[in-house]
Amino acid sequence: MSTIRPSSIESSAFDIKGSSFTLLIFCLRTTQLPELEKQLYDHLSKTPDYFNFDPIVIDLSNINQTDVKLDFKSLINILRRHRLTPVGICNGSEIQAQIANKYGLGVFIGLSGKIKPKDTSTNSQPLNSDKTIELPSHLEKKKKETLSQPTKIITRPVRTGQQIYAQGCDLVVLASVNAGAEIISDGNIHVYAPLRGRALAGVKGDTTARIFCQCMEAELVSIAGCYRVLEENLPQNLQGEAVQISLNGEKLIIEPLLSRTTDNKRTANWQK
Amino acid sequence: MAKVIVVTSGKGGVGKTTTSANFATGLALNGHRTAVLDFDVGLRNLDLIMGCERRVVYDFVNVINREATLKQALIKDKQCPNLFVLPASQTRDKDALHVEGVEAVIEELKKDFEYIVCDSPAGIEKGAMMALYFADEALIVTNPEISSVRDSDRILGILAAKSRRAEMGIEPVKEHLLITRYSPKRAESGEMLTVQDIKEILNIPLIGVIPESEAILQASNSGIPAIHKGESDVAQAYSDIVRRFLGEELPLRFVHRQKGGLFKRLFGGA
Repeated sequence: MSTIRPSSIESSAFDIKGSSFTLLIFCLRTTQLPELEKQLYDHLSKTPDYFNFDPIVIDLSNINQTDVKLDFKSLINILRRHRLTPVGICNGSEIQAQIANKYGLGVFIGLSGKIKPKDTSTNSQPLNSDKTIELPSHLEKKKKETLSQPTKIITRPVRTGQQIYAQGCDLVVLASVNAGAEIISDGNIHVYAPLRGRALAGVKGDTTARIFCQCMEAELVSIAGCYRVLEENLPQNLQGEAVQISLNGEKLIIEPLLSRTTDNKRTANWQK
Repeated sequence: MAKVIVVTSGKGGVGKTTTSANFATGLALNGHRTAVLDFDVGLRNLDLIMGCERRVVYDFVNVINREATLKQALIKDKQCPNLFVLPASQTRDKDALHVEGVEAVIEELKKDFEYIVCDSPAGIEKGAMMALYFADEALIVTNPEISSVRDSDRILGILAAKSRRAEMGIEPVKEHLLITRYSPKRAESGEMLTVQDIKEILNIPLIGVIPESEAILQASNSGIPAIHKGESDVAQAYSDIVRRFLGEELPLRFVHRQKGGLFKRLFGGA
């Protein structure tokens, strides 16, 4: 593998930027780790791949009294065994924060509002509470995978040679996408200006993704890997017009955005 | 505060050096102290077009390497006392340019000049990157043909991503579209892209259109920038561009075919 060196113009080898992520919180209600492991196993053994080493923050608000000792090393190992990646703690005591640091965990501060148990009975009997983690149904699991980042919005023209990727979200472009430019999204793509370059929606395999554009002049369109090179102009009612592009089986459907129901004949179908 | 203006295009042969020479001369003729820098190290041309090639002793690379002072290398223009040329080296290549060296030269020039015009080489390699890196404003020189427009689009993308202003996250480089070698007649007949076509693709404000003209070639060969020949359409078009750059609002000329009788020809069709 080759190494990447900063170019002479970008003399700095790294940038530090602010960002925000949505993180799962693991609300710990016991320090008796064998019991924790048992309950985790009971809950997760049926869906072993539910967590995919998702980063989590351990909330210690229930066990931050000074006389409580917590074996961080074992806790981290247990969580990792269940495909969770602890990245930090919150609401812990000062001593807990110091120990957490020692084990490579960050301390999240300013997290207001303790994660409170849903009812008092679980609060008074933490060990008997039947859920340490709220286990979601299948529906909720799907929701978690598709809804993640906020939509990426681009306001300046996307020019030849530029590539924009909206990872895990929809992409909205408010300026032209010029020939030789590439816009890519895990979700849908909307272009409220001429689309002259390449547009690839649902690149991680979402076959329900669509491309919407106000002025269709694209070089290439693709949904979930099913692509079409538009070497020649589209029929008159589509070229330069507002269209939407969707996937029907293996077929890419390019159709006028507005007159879908009134005139089906004008819809152009293409096989990959 | 001194302003750094890059004249760039991506594509070669579209009129960057001609534009740099005329634009810098125009600024100087308007009373502004101006320096014009040739970044085309190894293929220097600016000094030829400015008619000072025989007076080149030290060059840009000598200054960067501290083999000469800026004062020694700057060549005073024969026609305009406000105008100075910093020629490129003919014997070196673009690797002789580096960010720190170019920055030092530009910072020193900023103390003494109002406008610093950087004549970029073609391409998107080191010379072009160095020319645009410190720019505050950019003249994007474009011919009315599709490959030139495409290359200009690429350069605009680079300006928006790789210039110092972009890296520092401050106000982006101000972009101006300058169309050269335009023939209204051929554009009307569909042989060339029209001004409107180019504006639609590049989507940046138009600062002016230079008509295709034999006067350019004559001017280049004689080493006197065309803007000095006040009666020619090219000279007028470049003067308009300089005045627009300095804030005047002028109607666009030379974009429509000259038709009709003597009256219209005499007074110029807008």
